[in-house]
Amino acid sequence: MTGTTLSPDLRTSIGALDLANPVLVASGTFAYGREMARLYDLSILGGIVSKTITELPRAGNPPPRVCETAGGMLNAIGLPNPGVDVFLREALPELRQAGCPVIVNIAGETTEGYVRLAARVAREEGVAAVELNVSCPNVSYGLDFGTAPSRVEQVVRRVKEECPFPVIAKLSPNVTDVTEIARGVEQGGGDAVSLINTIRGMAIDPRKRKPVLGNVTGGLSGPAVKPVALAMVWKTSRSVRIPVVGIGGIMTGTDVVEFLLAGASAIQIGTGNFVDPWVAPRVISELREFCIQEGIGSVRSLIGELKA
Amino acid sequence: MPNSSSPSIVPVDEPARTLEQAAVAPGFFRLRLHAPRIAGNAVPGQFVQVRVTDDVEPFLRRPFSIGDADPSSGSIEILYHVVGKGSRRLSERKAGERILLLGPLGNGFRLPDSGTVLLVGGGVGMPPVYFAAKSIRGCRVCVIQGARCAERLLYRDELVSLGIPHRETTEDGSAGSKGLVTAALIETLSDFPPDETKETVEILACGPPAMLAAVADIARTHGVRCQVSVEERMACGFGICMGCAVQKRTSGTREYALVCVDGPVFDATQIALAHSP
Ligand SMILES: Cc1cc2nc3c(=O)[nH]c(=O)nc-3n(C[C@H](O)[C@H](O)[C@H](O)COP(=O)(O)OP(=O)(O)OC[C@H]3O[C@@H](n4cnc5c(N)ncnc54)[C@H](O)[C@@H]3O)c2cc1C
Ligand SMILES: Cc1cc2nc3c(=O)[nH]c(=O)nc-3n(C[C@H](O)[C@H](O)[C@H](O)COP(=O)(O)O)c2cc1C
Ligand code: FES
Repeated sequence: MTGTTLSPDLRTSIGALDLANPVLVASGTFAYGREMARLYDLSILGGIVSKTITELPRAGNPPPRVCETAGGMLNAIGLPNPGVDVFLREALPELRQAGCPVIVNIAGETTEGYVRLAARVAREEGVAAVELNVSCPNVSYGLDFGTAPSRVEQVVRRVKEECPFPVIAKLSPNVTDVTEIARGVEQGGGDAVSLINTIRGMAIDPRKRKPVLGNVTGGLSGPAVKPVALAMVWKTSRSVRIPVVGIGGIMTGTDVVEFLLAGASAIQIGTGNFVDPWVAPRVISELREFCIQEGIGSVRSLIGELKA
Repeated sequence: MPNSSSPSIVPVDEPARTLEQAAVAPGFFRLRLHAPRIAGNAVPGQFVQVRVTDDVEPFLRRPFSIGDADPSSGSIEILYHVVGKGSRRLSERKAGERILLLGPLGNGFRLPDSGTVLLVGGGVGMPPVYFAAKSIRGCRVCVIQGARCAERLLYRDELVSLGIPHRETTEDGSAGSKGLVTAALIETLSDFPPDETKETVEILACGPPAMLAAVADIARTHGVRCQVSVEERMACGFGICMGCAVQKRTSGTREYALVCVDGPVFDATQIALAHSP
């Protein structure tokens, strides 16, 4: 026992995708890795999910795009990105040098849009999985897909036909019952679900009597959303057989443990990267430390082990 | 793109020791910190992302311009106005405490090495202007500074003791000429023979959005080059969140630049100057 706990096994998987550890970084909070590669060796990460790309370039929303709220922040970035052509030509080659699995996050305006994007990405070397952003609260079409189980099922099924690698659907918390959507993903043949994307929210400047964000509403993230995310991960993991990737307010190693216990097979860190650019390496070592202290040989033994 | 910082300089998260925290005017504080790695690389116009507390609240870091950096003693300073909970919390930090500073960040001013430089600072936009004024070599320099009232003329005593020529304006007339800094800028520019200004004069400015917009207009009318340092709300401060968008001055399509990595210093002709962060 002591032998294993001295170097706990951090390996996990999202379906067929094997990961060196459960700590990934979330879409839109790591750009395409270029800025971060200057700060630390990205190969230590469980994986990188790149900023959402769309078929055509998008400028994004007018400023202000971010604002702080209690224990977190609101954003209404609006998916600015150079479009899939430029992404594949200029960002992906550098990103796959990271030395860890690269998950490409995509968003289409229609089912066919998702399918065309997935087909383009599928032709590339060095992509570990795609994550379908069917849940962005800051673009007009984003939520329509993510809120109807039948549409999610259809998108996932069609994308799956194009992809030699796992397909993960990223779910919105802004729905009546997230487990219904997750079941849609499972029925469509999706390999995993990741959740949560940001929770719709708003900030108001009382003196100007105006919304703080240029887009009026935005998405809440950071420690403030962690309890919501934990509950949704827990409910979802009990409702589907496919793996769940937990996202929401993760800043520490024990946060990761909580998500694993709730049923997540892996996690993503989002907003934490802004406050502490070195949060991911720190969280990985805190997770290792936790396992050593608690005598846990493998992080897999934590997944879904909540005593409830 | 104005750029006096080297892209090879990687920002560090330095646990800086607080050397001194002093009120320089009611609500305005100067904070000196021992941060040798940042001090050694900082150029005027760059900023730091300050983790004002180790607690969760306030959550995000706050951006502040580097007001001075001394590589030999390893110290930097910021000068800030208490406007909300982050800056208030920062003002409570005491000498000897450690504060995490991420920096140096962004592109600083491209400092001219000949001709005349008019440095225009409005209100709490003075720190990068002061740092630039004392760093410029080989130029005729004049700082044109404006504030609401005399006690808010930040860095005024330092400019005087360094012998840097400067003009003051206050909105209430309590020091210098009464009125806006832009009026003093126009006056100063009128002193130059018109054919001389285009070639030899350059404006470097930092201040509130309306001031920067007016300064850019004046620069355009006089055919003078102009760099402006702008602000926008930030989450990360180093290019990964896309939060700090400022609209580019483009014809047709709407495009944005990122203040934290493409700026905060921009050529005034490149961006649309209007909205306040
Ligand atoms: C590049 C840059 C350099 C700056 N340099 C200085 C400086 O040298 N001295 C100084 O006093 N101030 C400076 N500011 C403004 C300073 O960052 C804000 O005043 C400060 O963040 C306010 O935080 P708060 O919690 O006290 O206020 P709150 O209003 O409670 O802040 C809430 C949120 O709004 C953001 N925010 C509020 N006002 C601004 C603003 N004007 N610009 C950007 N974000 C804002 C905060 O960062 C925070 O996320 C600079 C801003 C930028 C972007
Ligand atoms: C500034 C910002 C930008 C984001 N951009 C995207 C995006 O492009 N695509 C996406 O699927 N999720 C995006 N997200 C959502 C995050 O990936 C994540 O799901 C959410 O923020 C919750 O995790 P956190 O609390 O750790 O940040 C963004 C979040 C933030 C804060
Ligand atoms: S503040 Fe995050 S990209 Fe500029």
